[in-house]
Amino acid sequence: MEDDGSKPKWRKDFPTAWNDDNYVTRRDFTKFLVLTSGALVVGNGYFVLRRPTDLAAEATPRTLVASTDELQVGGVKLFAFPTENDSALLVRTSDTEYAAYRQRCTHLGCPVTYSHDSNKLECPCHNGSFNVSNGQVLEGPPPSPLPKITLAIENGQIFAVGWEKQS
Amino acid sequence: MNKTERDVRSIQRTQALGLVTVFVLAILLIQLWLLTIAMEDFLAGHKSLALPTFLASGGCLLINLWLLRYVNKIDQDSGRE
Repeated sequence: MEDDGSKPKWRKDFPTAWNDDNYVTRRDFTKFLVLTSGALVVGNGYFVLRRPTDLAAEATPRTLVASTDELQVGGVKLFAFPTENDSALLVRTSDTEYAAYRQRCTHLGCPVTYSHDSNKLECPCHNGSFNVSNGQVLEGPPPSPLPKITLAIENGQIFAVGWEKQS
Repeated sequence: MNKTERDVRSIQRTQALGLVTVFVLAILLIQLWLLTIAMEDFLAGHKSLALPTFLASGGCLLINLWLLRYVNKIDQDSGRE
């Protein structure tokens, strides 16, 4: 049954055309996408305005890390340096040598850990690894060496005193 | 069943809008990639990629705004009918 000969009766009950219905939804979706596009530009702008942390410029208070007889060879101790919020790790690499690093991968900031089996500092996030003696990148995506902490040993005590310059 | 001219235009609008949506989505993915490499560069302690990626992302936004203008134009044409 038709109303006026050109449109069926059901069209009066459902006046919205399917195509128009989809059209409105896609239009709103496109507007939302453009809004998201603007948000991504703002996100990129954040990295332009914010300076990366310059470790050399940071204040480095002399921090007691451990005593020399506290760790066995291959032993690890976590400590905070230079602030309470910055995690670092001390590794005893031989009878007389110690090495300390910032415990933050230079790739995306995941915490690195010392692996006894491979004698490397490893980042579990993307399988990056660093030389435990000098912090140089051995494998994986990290773009730069692990920041190494300068240590001072006095009267059987190990102190963190600053950052070593790395090539 | 014959389609009226209005129906044909409605279908064309829908298709054009679908195409614009795909373009905007593709540009958005490029922007997401730009943000990712800017963040990776930043976390690595560098800043060399921050400005180029920002400018590229801004260019993508301009293209998206131009496409949105096209969508609004379709809206206006649709309203006139």
